[in-house]
Amino acid sequence: MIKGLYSAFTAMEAAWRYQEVLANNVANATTTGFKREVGAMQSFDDALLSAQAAVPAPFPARIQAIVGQIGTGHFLADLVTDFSGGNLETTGQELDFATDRGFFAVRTPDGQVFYTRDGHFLRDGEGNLVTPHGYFVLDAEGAPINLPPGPVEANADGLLSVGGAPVATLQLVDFTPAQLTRSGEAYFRAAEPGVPVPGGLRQGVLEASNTNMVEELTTLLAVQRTYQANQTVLARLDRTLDQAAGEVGRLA
Amino acid sequence: MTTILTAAASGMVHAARVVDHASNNTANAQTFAFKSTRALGTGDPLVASENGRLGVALTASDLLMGTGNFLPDDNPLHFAIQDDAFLRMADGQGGVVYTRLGALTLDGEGNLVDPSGRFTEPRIQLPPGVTAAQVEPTGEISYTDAEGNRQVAGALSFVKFRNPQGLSQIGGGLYSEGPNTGAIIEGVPGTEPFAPLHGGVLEASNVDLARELTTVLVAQRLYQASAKVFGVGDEMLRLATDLTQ
Repeated sequence: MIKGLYSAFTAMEAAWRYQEVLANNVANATTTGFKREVGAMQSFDDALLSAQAAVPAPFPARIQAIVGQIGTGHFLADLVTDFSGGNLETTGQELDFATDRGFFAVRTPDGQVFYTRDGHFLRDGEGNLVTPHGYFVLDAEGAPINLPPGPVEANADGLLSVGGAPVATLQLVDFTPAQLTRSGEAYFRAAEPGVPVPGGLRQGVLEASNTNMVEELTTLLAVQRTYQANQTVLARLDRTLDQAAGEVGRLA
Repeated sequence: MTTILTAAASGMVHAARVVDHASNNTANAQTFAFKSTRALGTGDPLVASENGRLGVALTASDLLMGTGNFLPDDNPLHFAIQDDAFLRMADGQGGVVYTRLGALTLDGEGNLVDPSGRFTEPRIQLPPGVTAAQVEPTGEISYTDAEGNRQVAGALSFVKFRNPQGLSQIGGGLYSEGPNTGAIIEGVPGTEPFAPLHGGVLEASNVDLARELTTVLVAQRLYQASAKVFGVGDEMLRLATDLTQ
């Protein structure tokens, strides 16, 4: 019976953790380049991310994956990032980019390199191509890109030109899922260098979040009920134990 | 323990900011030379915590500098700037501010002023009794004097910024320099790299109403969904605290 207390508690904790993931997916439903997290039934194979389909498990299976065997308190909390592409939204801004394949590379002031599908870039005061936080966007050689004044044109291979003169080529690299770890909502850290991908750059377009609102909210409600059910079990077991400890054998 | 609530609240805050921008844009859909802004949810790799699920990390707001349509206007002192240059205006406190709006008029003393009465920088005053004042494509202000000759009273001053998106909107169609505007280039319209002024027109707002309304609808749904998640998180906390009763 004590064991039952623990299995109910573990299931509640797992449900809570999954709820955190779902809440984050919902909150980032409009975050550019956001990649949702889901509970995984199976691991990805070693193909490049651009060859991956959307994560296939239907949501009840995912709840099962997270909450798992309630009877033993065992759960398979394995969260994976769903790398499937978000919708492409046309913005018409010359420094908004999306890529069909691969990731953009950005460098923070302390020298760390991150990879992202968020191609919302700007110029800074010196004309460098930067993210909204001011991190440098890197070219194919891994150096920051400095744009002279004037309208920017980009071709599908990532070559940026200003006034017809080529300036730099955006770095576009792809990875296998195992090579990337999440760092915040739309950025990833890579253990090894990526594979350069040819073409697929679009100018004046941003990749929207791949949050699936209907699925997140449905799962949210289902997980809430799982939590509730286990809370009830826990409360009932507590009462039973109370009776066992306090009332059985008591002289009237 | 409260991460569900934190993430949900960040979604609501972000949605509210998006609506702020969209409502300001919509209200200014008919404001001459208005530049729209947008707010985009953005991740930040450096603020990510260990489990990294804090909701929307950053609402990045951009000034969209696209040129609006030109609307005909028969005032000879009205003009539109055809490239990404700005007109220098006096802020009334000894400083300089910048505007895209070429809607100049004359005040009672013959000074060239904007619709709010601000002087141009440098200040340009027409002598009394002159007629047919107009803006030339080069930014010079010309007039016909009492003898019927064309004279020049002065020239408007135009600048370009390395990064016009870095300007700060200070209201009334005015902009001030920010930390990211970069180098300033002064020049004469019609001389490279400045395009000549387009007289007899005014620049319309660059707001795209259809886009703004779509943005509001999406933000409203984000707000609703985040509020729902908040409610669920709250209910789960209640269940957890009920255990101790």
